[in-house]
Amino acid sequence: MITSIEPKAGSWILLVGPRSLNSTMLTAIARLGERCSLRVLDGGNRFNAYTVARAARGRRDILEHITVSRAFTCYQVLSLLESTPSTQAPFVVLDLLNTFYDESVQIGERKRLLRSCLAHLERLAVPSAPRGAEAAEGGLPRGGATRRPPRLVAGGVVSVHPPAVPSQAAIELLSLLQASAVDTFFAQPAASALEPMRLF
Amino acid sequence: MGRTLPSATQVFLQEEAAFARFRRALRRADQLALDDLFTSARQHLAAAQYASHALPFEVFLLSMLLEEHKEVMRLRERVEDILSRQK
Repeated sequence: MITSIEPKAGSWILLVGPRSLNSTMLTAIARLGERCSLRVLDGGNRFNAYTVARAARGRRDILEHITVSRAFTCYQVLSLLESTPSTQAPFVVLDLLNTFYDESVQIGERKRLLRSCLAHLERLAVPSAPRGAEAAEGGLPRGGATRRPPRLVAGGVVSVHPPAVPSQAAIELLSLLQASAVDTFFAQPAASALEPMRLF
Repeated sequence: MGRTLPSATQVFLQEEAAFARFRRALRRADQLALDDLFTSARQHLAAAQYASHALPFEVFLLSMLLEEHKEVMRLRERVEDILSRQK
């Protein structure tokens, strides 16, 4: 079970798992937000702020470290990644392939878009040169925190869920993604808790 | 494009469902009291939505407390009324 995510500087890792993986991802995002600023790029409308707020125990300082951007089409995913600047803050991409499973877009076009996205993921994983004091503090607001968190450099985590209806195109897209990731982790669905037998 | 956050009603129903096992373990009288608490919180869902609080369950708890306090105020008024009549 995933309880925390550790972005590796200069590279990004891939997490493949069922949709139930999302809640643990959100908890892990809150944990990471305790230590540094981070950018969440949501490709499948998976970011539930209430879950993150609960995991962060409602602490505003943690929530203020997390910046969320959403995309609702595969074109918007590329546009979002293009417009995201390289900083020292690590990034988390939630359900990257969700919009790429859309069969109303030609598979060739989806692959082209995904390849462009991968180039931007590589760019974002590499930390940019620090600019000024704020960058040196890992993007924290000045004077906001009494305890300086350990400096984290960029790196990223990308999560994907298998499509509801398996298809050859989805497998190709996933393998394209896997080929670019430094590490790929497969999360198994958690075994459901045994329900007590009902008497009535 | 869809909702980026569940509505207050959806969150409320999720929270209520999360307490289903707790409710099941309670005595019948306590189950009814718990149901009353959730019913009182349900009356303030519109306010909870407007509050956009990061932890909506806190708002639901406050809604329950609000209704309980209203009940205490009503009962206090009645006691004072009865006492004033007896004098």
